[in-house]
Amino acid sequence: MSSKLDNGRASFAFQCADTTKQLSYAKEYKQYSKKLPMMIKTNGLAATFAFMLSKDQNKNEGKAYHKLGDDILYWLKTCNTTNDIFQNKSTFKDLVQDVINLDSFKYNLITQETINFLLWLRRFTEGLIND
Amino acid sequence: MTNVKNTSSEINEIILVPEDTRELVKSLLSKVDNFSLKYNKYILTDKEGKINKKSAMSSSFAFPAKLLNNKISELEQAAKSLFGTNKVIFTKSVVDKLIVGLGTESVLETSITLHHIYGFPYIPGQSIKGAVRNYVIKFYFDSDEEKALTQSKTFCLLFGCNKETESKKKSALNEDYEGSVVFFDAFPTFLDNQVISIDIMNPHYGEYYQDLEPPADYLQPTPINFLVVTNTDFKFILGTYKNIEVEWNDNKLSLLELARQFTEETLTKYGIGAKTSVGYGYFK
Repeated sequence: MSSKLDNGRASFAFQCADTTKQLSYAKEYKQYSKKLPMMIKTNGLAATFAFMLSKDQNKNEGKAYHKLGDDILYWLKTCNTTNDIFQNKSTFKDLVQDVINLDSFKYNLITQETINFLLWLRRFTEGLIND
Repeated sequence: MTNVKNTSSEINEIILVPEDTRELVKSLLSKVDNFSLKYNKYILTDKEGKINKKSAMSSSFAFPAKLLNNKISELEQAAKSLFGTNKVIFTKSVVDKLIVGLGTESVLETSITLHHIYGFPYIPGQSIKGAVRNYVIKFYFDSDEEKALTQSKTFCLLFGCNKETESKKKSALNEDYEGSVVFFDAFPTFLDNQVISIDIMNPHYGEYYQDLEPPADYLQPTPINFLVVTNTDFKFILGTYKNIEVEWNDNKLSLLELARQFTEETLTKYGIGAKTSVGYGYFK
């Protein structure tokens, strides 16, 4: 167990929000970081990742979703509850396939970790990114 | 050869759930009668790996009528044991179409409020109370919420209030008060496979709305499907713990009776749910 606030989720989420704030799609990033936890609860993690992946990367919408996906994946690879599941292999592009090949227990673990991370991320995007 | 074909179609269309669940779903899908689960959780990808919205929209459903009837009598029973005679129950039918929860986050872009456990479409109580409160503020207090809270004791008794409004003015009751009328969830009285149907909105000037292009007819329309509730009635239940007599427009009547009048006015004149400005969500 890490002694950091919320196992380090908070400090990584702060970095993500901080590095995104000067990008052209910061506004979308902020908006979607709030939407995602609800979407995960409604439709499940794999469907949410598939939805994020399907967005066109040439538009701000797609850029923001892909950045969010990369940030989530990086966190899942580093945090100590889920890092052994991915073993640094996944890229965001393969994430849907990787996630649906897990058993329910690991899938639930990753779902919960993703939601916990996003709860911190939405707080920091709210504070750091202006509309 | 048939085997190869099967495998390739499996790769094309993935059910987006974990592996063990996927095996279960394949064998049990025909038995699923919870429409909420089927619509929200049974999400497939198409050949390009995108979410297959068409298959989700057209997923068949059959609502178990017995469950629905049980649920409704359960609510009526609850109202009776909580409020005795201080309750009103009335039924209203959907005029054209009703859509509650259209904007809820979903990978399908559009959504509909379905009961989490039973899978029925329904109108949550807080949604009814909110609509009625808005209606009353709009039509009786010139759209001024503060005016309603500071000038009308009846309004505060019905919907509840804080001791002070946001701009620190004293509310009419001058105390924190919980609204005296309880709004129950409204369930449809009747459900068959005609009740939920697929509707379409088709914005033509999407790029104009994003400030990218002038509005012109060479822009392409974007068809977006969503589900609506139609051809059914809803049962509304209101109750109150203590029956308070109030005065409204020089008439003396019970708070519950007033709440019933407001709710009926809201349903028939103001509409509930999304898209009321284009005729959705009205009752008769």
